[in-house]
Amino acid sequence: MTKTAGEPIIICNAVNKWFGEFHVLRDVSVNIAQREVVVVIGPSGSGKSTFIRCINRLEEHQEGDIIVDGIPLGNDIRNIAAIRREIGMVFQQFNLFPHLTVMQNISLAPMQVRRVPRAQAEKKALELLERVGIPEQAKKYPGQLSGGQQQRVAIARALAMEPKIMLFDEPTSALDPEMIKEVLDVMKELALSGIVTHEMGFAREVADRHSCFSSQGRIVEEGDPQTFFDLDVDHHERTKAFLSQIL
Amino acid sequence: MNSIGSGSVLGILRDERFIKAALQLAFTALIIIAAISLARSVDSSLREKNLAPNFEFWSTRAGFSIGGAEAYYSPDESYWRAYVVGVENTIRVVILGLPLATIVGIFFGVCLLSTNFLVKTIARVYVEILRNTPLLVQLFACYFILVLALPAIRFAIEVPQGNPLLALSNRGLVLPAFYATDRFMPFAVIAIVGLVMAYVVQRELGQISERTGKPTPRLWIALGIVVAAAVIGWGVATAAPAPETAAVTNGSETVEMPVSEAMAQNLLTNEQLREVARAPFFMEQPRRQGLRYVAGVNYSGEYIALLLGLVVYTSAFIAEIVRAGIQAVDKGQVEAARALGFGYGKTLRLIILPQALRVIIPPMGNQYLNLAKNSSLAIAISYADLFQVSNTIINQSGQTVSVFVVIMATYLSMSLLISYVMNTVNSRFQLVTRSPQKGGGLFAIFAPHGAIGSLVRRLAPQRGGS
Repeated sequence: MTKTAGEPIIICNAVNKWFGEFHVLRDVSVNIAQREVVVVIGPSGSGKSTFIRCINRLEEHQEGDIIVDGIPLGNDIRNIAAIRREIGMVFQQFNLFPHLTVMQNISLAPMQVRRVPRAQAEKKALELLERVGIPEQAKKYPGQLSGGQQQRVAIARALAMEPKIMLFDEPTSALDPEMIKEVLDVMKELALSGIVTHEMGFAREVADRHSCFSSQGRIVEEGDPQTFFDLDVDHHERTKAFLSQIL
Repeated sequence: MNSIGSGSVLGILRDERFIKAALQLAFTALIIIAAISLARSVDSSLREKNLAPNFEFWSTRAGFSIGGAEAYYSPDESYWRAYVVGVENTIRVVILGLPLATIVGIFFGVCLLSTNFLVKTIARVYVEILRNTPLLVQLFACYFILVLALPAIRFAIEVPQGNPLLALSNRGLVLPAFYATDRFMPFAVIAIVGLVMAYVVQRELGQISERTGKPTPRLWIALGIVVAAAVIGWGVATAAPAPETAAVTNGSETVEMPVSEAMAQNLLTNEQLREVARAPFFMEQPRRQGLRYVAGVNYSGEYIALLLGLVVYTSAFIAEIVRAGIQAVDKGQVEAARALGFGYGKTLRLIILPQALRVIIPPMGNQYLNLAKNSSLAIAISYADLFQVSNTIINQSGQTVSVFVVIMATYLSMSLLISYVMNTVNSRFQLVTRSPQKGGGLFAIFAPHGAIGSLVRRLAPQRGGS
């Protein structure tokens, strides 16, 4: 791993999770360094989303350790709150607040959670909207925007909390590849770490590393983007089967 | 010519906008004709049977008494006055029933969503039993099983015993009455000034904390101002000394005696109590004389049974509406709020409730209308609401048609008022989406850009046209 630098900001050690009888995550161990962007790929149902939702405790893991920026994730609500403050998340369905304007969507959490003064929160929101290319939409409601615009607002909303880490759960459904490259560039610029899940080999140039989940919820292979997508390299059988379908 | 069509007559007949406008006009005409002919036939048949509406009888003597209204209504007054007493009784039930049903309904609705098995099951049983039995049956049960099973008035339950603040019997509930004294005005003025000040300070502090990002304990400060104003007001109002003796009529003679002694013997009139009280208001406790409570505020057993029945029945429906409304909020909304670091309370207040209310308010309005209209079942337990009184009026006067016209108009006005309020509230919670619905209806076709407007513009001679 050539690009990884500094201490790991996310440490996952032998994480296991069950949904009832179903074993979703099996012994998942990954370290993610500061400023590193990892794309997690794998077939649907392989546990990619569950994995990143465990990192900010939208799902509970049952075994193993998750440590984010030195804070162990467990049942302590103060730790959960502290970790959520460091992590921004962008959802597949955007999950914008439909009763609030774009501006309010972005500035609400900084004002309510971080206690940022209104003027400052709104200035920041406008800057972020400019960055994602839709400053003219600030006064509209999410229902008045296209899917792509909504996803941009969702990204601005997550960035407004000034997170150290960004999680993207299947962002492509409404996001064109160009846009995600822009976002990942922004993350590089802000020195953020990130995890992106995706069903396809995607945005390979911008990612530092790819991990492939097997259908059993286990990480079968990791690699840098150059070799990961090269079919001539000696891959794990499961990765090979998956890559041959998407390339 | 414009490019949409040729100007020929055939072109206009095929014009979608013309067809829509013509159909609307034809339909309106049809309805007007039908209404006129219906009104004529009703009118003539009523005249034949000598039932033509007559609104003059309303001012003649009613001649019947209304239970519970003896203090302000006598049988010598007009039918109209009796009717108004009935309307007041209906309003008395509805105005208390709506907020009570809402509170109880929200409580059980939240319980239905509880993760605690016992709480959830109790709420579910409550809702299912009340939703699935007829209201009329429930009202009878309330009246005969709950209210009439209470002790007779001689053995009324008094809390505390002997010197009651509350007296409960099968005739109803008696609570203390509060009367303003001469000292009330200074107290009220200072208290209101305090309330206004608290509101202003609270708002200002809110704006300051938004500007600086620093939270202020503004609710506590506001509460402090209100309490301080109340204490100061009380002090000012009670500063002047009260008379120590009063002239009381004991039997035939009038004597001057110390206030405390006169009060212990219940010899003071309300007016004298007002003078001697050293407080902004005084409380009149329930007091029984023979088989009647002569002091305090009386709520009859029928009133309590009706209110209880309506509140309990409607609350079951409201509980389901609240549950459904909260569950209708997408789970992703909660996840997004959590991911942004909102705690449980803020998620509920800022994210879930504003969206749930959008779903809850329209059906809630329906339940409010139901409660208001169901109050007419009062007749079953002989509570003197507007319908019960009207029924007596019909029996005595025989003026069926005109009484029913007035009854309908009354219920309609009440329902329209409730609908208007709910629609106003509702419009404040609606979401803005990409394609807002434009106001349609009959009049839209006359708008400049509606069907007729465009046709008129097309048919008008073109200026400088090709």
